[in-house]
Amino acid sequence: MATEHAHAAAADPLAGVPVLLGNHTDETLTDTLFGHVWRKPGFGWYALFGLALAGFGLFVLAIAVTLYKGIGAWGNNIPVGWAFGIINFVWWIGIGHAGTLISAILLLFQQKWRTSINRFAEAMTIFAVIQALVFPVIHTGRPWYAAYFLFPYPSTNSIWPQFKSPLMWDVFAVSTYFTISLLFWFMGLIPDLASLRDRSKGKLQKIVYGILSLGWRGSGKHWHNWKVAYLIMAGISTPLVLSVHSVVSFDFAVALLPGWHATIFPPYFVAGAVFSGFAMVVTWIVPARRFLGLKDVITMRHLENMNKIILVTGLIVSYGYLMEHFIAWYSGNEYEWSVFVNRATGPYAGVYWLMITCNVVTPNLFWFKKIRTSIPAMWILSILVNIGMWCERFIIIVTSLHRGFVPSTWEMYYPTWVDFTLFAGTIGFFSTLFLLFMRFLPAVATAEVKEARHEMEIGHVHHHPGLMKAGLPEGHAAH
Amino acid sequence: MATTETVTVGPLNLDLPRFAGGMKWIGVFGVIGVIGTGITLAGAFGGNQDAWFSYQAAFAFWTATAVGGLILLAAHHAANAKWPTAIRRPMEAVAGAMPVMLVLGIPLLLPNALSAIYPWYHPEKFDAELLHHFHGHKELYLAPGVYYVRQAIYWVVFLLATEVILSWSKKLDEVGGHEFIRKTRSFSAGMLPFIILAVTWAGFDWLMSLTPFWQSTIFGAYYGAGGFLAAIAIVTIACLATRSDRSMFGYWMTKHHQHNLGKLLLAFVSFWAYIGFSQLLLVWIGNLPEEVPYYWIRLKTGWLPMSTFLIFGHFALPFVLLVPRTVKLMPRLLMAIAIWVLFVCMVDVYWMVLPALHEDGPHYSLYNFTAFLGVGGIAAAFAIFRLRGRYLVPVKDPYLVDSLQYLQPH
Repeated sequence: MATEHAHAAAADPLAGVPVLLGNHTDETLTDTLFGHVWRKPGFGWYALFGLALAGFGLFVLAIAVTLYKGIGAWGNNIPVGWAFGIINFVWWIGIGHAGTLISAILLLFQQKWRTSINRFAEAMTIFAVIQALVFPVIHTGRPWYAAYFLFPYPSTNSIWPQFKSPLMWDVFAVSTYFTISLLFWFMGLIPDLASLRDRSKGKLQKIVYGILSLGWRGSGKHWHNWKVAYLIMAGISTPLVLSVHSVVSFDFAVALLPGWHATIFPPYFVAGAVFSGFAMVVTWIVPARRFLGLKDVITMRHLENMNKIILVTGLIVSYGYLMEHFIAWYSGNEYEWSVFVNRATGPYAGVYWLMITCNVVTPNLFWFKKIRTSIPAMWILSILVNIGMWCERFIIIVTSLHRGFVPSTWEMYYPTWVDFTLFAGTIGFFSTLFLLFMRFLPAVATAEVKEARHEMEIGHVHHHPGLMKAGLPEGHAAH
Repeated sequence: MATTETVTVGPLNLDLPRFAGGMKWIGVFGVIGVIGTGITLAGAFGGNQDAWFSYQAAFAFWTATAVGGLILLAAHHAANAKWPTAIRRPMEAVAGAMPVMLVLGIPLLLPNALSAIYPWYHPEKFDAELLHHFHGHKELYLAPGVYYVRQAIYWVVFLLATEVILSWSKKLDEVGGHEFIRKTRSFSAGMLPFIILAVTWAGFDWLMSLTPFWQSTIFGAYYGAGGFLAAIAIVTIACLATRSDRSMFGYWMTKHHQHNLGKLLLAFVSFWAYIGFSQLLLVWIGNLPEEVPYYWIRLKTGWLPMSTFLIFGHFALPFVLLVPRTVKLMPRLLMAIAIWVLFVCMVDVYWMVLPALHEDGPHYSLYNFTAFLGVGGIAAAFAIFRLRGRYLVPVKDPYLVDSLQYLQPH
């Protein structure tokens, strides 16, 4: 049967690279996919980790300065009362979306290729949301009082949060998102943690992985419960893919500022989030698959599919831009239109055109298979997308605020060194967490890849109602 | 007369006849269509505004549905999806109504129609303040000459995409192999952005400009989402209705395909609600004088019951019903839900159009019914007519085997 399937695959001239290369068994997959956990890390890992830790140092420094001096250390002013803090928040939250999309929607769509990259992307979600949360919490000025502002508990001072504010909705949306993503990720890890417990040689490793694997024995009952729970979690996560960034978009769209108040904002923000999330996955996975020896499992098929998703979501983002610009013009509303003219020709025009280049122009190169499947091209384009999406948030937030309805309120915004340092610091913190993840946990969902391999090798031995109708005996896989 | 030809694909020997039936349905739909359209257009040219608005709504609805079918078809090709191969023909049929939609749209291009339906056709009737708003970009954009140029562009896109995909599908039935599939996949991917842009602007022109001083950036997506959902509903109905005839696509639909159609209905009922909610929330909470009238008319007048009906009938009810797997696997129930969804999609377009004529609440007239049944009847008759002489299953498609052995995860 296995050879029949292999022939069928070879006979399909339109089939791409398989999702699993090489002649793997469960054993070789375990060795390949857990190898980087057992191996002592090389110089490269230490060098990167040192760099990331230095970045984390910047993070600590920027927070210390902010707490010591207050928010005045940032470049915020009136009218731009909200700048790097919210730009970076939205940027990081968006990056997390690839993980949720891969874990939830691609699972429901039965996209088998997701199994090689879901662990990686889900980890990215969690680490990115942590970075995102830093900004609003620090922006409260005195984070130790943040609970008063954010969590709806009956305060003795009669201070209640403003439930009509989308910032409040954000608290619920993002905290739900973080909780579900963490549970989903951890649940997926349990069978692999159990394998690590059983196969690791060190005593400490056995104890730690043993505790984390929650007594997993791999019995049929365990697998059954695990599968059911996984599907339920995917169902719960699916609306989250849409809701989180829709609520983030409401932060702006419910306001009456020109350039913010647009009904297209929710879906266009969601598409932008998935766009940047997938770009970040490509940025990290391209070097990781090489250095962790995962090329058999994360094949060109995965990379090409991710690039296709970047292309599609990039086109949706472009559609959003087009709608905003067209309706601003069509409406004849001078304030609305002047915001868009100011974006393209005003003092921040450079950022605007960088955004257009990175989000609208260059992703279209992915129409070409040659570029979709070129490692250097996709790596550069993925970084450009992340730059472009950061610029998008800068443009939306700063240009709408810095020139209000009355010219006497106009003011330029310039970030300070603390703004830049905190942003760089979150990149350092994110990288630190990511490198630790790749050091101590399997970067690929090994149990799921093994299952996928079994399915590919053994083929279907189920009833095929469609084939039975064609007069073929049941259980016969037709090739 | 059915001509039986044995077609061999892998181990499949499908001795399917080419489709030679359907005359009964072509007759039924054709008669309903001609009578309905005839009555509506007679009323319209007789100067009845209800007839014009009803005809406009019916045309906008059925065209969006045909475009929805085209997007469904093109998206599956672009995504290299193999599972829908066995039930691809009804998707092609929905899109295949496109040429007749162009013909049905011609009366709406006549000056009588523009004059009766669109306030921007008579800017001289605006009061001074509205005229002030109208001057500038809108005056230019909504000038009849420019309007006609845009209509031509939409139809070139819709017809080019439909006819090329359908002609390659015909060729595939003759020669088999992978070449036409490969070409269709690339062409579909390349055309999708243009189809989506065209349907967006068609929505702006046909429906949004009924209220010329109102605009919403998400309007095109809302209009397109409704048509897409209606197309899925029709494909579901067509498959379920032809389950017992071996020469029809419905027979080859397995419960796994059926489950997927149910899931698509669920997903796009939710998507419609998401887009509709985004628009409603942001307009309502913004409460701007230039934005809010659209919803004020629909929520604070006699239109409120219909708006409430849409929330429950177009979203809550089908959503709750479609969530359980067992419901999606029950053919009769799924069929009933799909028919319901098609109906509420019509109500949705009616709700977008008619309040522009009657701001105080619905004034039901005979034309409301004759228009939807008439335009829909002609479209259906034409779509079925185009299937004659074709195999109703893509017998030589190399992925038919994959489609027939497609399984849901267990």
